[in-house]
Amino acid sequence: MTFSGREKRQFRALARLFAYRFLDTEIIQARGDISSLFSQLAALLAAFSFVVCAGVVYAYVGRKPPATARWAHEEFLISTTMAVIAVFTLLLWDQLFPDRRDSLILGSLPIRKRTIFCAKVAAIGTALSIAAVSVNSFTGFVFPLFILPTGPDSIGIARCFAAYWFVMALASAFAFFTLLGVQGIAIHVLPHARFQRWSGFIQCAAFFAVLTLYFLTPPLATPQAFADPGNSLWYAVLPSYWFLGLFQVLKGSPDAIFAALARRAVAGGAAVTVFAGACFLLSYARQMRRTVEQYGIVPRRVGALRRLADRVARLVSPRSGEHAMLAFIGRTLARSRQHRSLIAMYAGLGLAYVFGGIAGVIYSPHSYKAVERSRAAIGIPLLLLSFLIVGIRVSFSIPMEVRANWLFRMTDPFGSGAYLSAARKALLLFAVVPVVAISAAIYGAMWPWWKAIAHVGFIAAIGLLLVEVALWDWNKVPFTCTYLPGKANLKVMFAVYWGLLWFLSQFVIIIEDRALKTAAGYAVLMAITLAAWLRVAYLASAARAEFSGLRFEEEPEPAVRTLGIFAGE
Amino acid sequence: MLEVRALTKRFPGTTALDRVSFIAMPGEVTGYLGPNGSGKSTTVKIMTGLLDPTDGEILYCGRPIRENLIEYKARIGYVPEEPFLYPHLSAAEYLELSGELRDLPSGKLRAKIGALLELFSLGDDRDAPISSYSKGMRQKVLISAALLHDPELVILDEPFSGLDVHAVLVFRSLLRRLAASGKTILFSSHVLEVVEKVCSRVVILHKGQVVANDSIDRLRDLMALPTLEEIFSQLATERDPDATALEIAEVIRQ
Repeated sequence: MTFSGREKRQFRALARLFAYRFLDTEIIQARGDISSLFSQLAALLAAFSFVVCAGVVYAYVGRKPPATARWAHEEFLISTTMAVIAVFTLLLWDQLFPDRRDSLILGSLPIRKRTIFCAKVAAIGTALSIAAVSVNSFTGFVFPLFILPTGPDSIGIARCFAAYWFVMALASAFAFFTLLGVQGIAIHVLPHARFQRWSGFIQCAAFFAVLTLYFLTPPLATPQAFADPGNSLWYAVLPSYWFLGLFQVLKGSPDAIFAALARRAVAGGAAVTVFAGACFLLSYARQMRRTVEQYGIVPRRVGALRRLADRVARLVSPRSGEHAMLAFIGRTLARSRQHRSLIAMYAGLGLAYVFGGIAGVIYSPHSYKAVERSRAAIGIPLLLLSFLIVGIRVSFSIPMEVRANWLFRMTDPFGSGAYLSAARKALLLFAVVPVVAISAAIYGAMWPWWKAIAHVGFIAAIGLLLVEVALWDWNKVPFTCTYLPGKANLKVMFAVYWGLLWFLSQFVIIIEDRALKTAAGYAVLMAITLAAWLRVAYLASAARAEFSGLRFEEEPEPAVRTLGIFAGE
Repeated sequence: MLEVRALTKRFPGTTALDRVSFIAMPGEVTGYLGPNGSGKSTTVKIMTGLLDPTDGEILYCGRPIRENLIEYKARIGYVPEEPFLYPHLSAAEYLELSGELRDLPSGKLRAKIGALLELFSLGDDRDAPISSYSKGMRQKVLISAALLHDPELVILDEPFSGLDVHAVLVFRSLLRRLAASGKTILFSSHVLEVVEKVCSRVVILHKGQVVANDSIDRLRDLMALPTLEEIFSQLATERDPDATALEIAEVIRQ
């Protein structure tokens, strides 16, 4: 296959366009500068690699852990790389296959399909390579030095380095092709309209599956675990162990179990690559034309679920303007992939934190005390709730078609207070109510009824408090105000979020655990929490009284800040 | 009665409107014309309260609209130049949102939405997302949303954009009926044939200034020109269109 000069120019232009579109969202943006976009992402992943690398140096310098102990570290690095690539692939979900826009715009231009295909492959390959290299940028050069199977001779070092990077590349490709295959099946099997509707849900389900797999994979990289025949099913289904086996084989291990795992890694990798590659290729041969042929209007029926949701919204918000806004918030959250992905990301972080705690309790070699198990159980809904509230509140700030906000500017949601009431009810309905309902079912089945009711009551009270904190300085209609990427002081926000997380996971949970032991203690805890809620609600209301109206334009930080010590400043 | 009084709007480096004054009377369709960049959409945005003027004021029923902007906004229906709608909502949902934000009673609102969508031939696609609509369909949604609350003052910025012939004929007739029922209608458009058929008087804007403000018949008599197109060409066109077309054709050939 040879490219003419024109095709080469088209390829370069398209590869650049596709690569830019991967990251050019309302959430990540660098004022149109593609190199800045990629360097920001690479820096983020490299920072993670540096932290892990520091841990490696601390664990290995001056010490010589046994070879078997290094297996766990190797498995951690492999599974982390796979998880990062998987999450990154899920973020690019809508850009992987040619969409309707590609088909309609590029289809009418004098461009061969193979040029579009090659440009897309090049763009995806570049983006994923940057992610894979960045996440191993420090560990990939330091870790192999500590795990040399033989002495520090140049051949041994070169072999260890080559094995490390080869395995990481293969594991990354495996993670990417697996998800590409999942979308490939859906895109080819489902009718176009149905795929459009389900794609977002498949993306969210895959996201939670990746997080669950990453955090709840049992730690089986020990000689004892390898020797136990009861673990054979785990090794058969957990890909990170396949690539651990491959790594050991490439380093020169003669162990038969590693050879079996390595064979599985090669076979599995080849299978998903061939399958996903075929789906991808077929999508260009078939899907682009099929997409154009589809009737542009996606039919939709008003189902029972939507009627029920409408009825609930009308019950919760009988006032006309407030109901309109609550329905608008609900529909935007349900239908906007961007907002859904953002909330899934926050919920995923919450799950990661919770799963980390659960894994610590389940897989710890030392038997955890009952009190620690109890606290881990208490903490799950509280942590998830806080991540969910923060995620939904952040998503409110990301606009949905800013130019359509004239509708809200032509009416008066500020004067009637409908904007605030709807935002509050949305947070309660979409974050607090589901967590409380699910908690009630689970704790009701696990604990004595009085303890379950008490705990669920406390979760609801904390939910009310967090919702008021989240809406402290809120004077916007959700999804209608312009967004300035980078305006939020990430360092400060990071500290605030981690402070809140620490407060919840270390302080509130311990206090609740103690309070649940006596009726008096619980009554005091609830009284303090509800009083805090009322106080915060009162203060927030006083702060909001100073607003003169709704904000539809985010204002940049002033170039010069005054100290505010003179009147009128 | 809508009165625009010495309206001025300056943007950094340019004056979009320079002391623009005119009156739109109830029972009339007032045409608001001008070439691209003449300041029509800026005037319309100020009239709807989306932009603030640098100077001058707008009076509705003798009172400055800024005195009670919310009450004024409740009385207007607006079709913007660009069909900016929420693409993830369906037509029915968008109209419901619009109606509820204007505090229309829900039973009446639903009946009205159903009837309007049927009459605008959107009944079959009422529950499909607006993102999949054609430009004409989006325009029909905007027009329905503007008229849903039976406004006293209707401000239309290029309302016929993308509409099919049947819809144009229906809407043209509708405008005459709305005007006859006593509504004040401001109609901004580039389609001069339609303006000539629908409007009783026109305001022509050029480089941010009013260059004509009279009934179409009087303008024809005053300027001794047979059509609105020729009147417009004389007042608001700087270059000879044929000469410009010739130059473009030569550039294409190069």
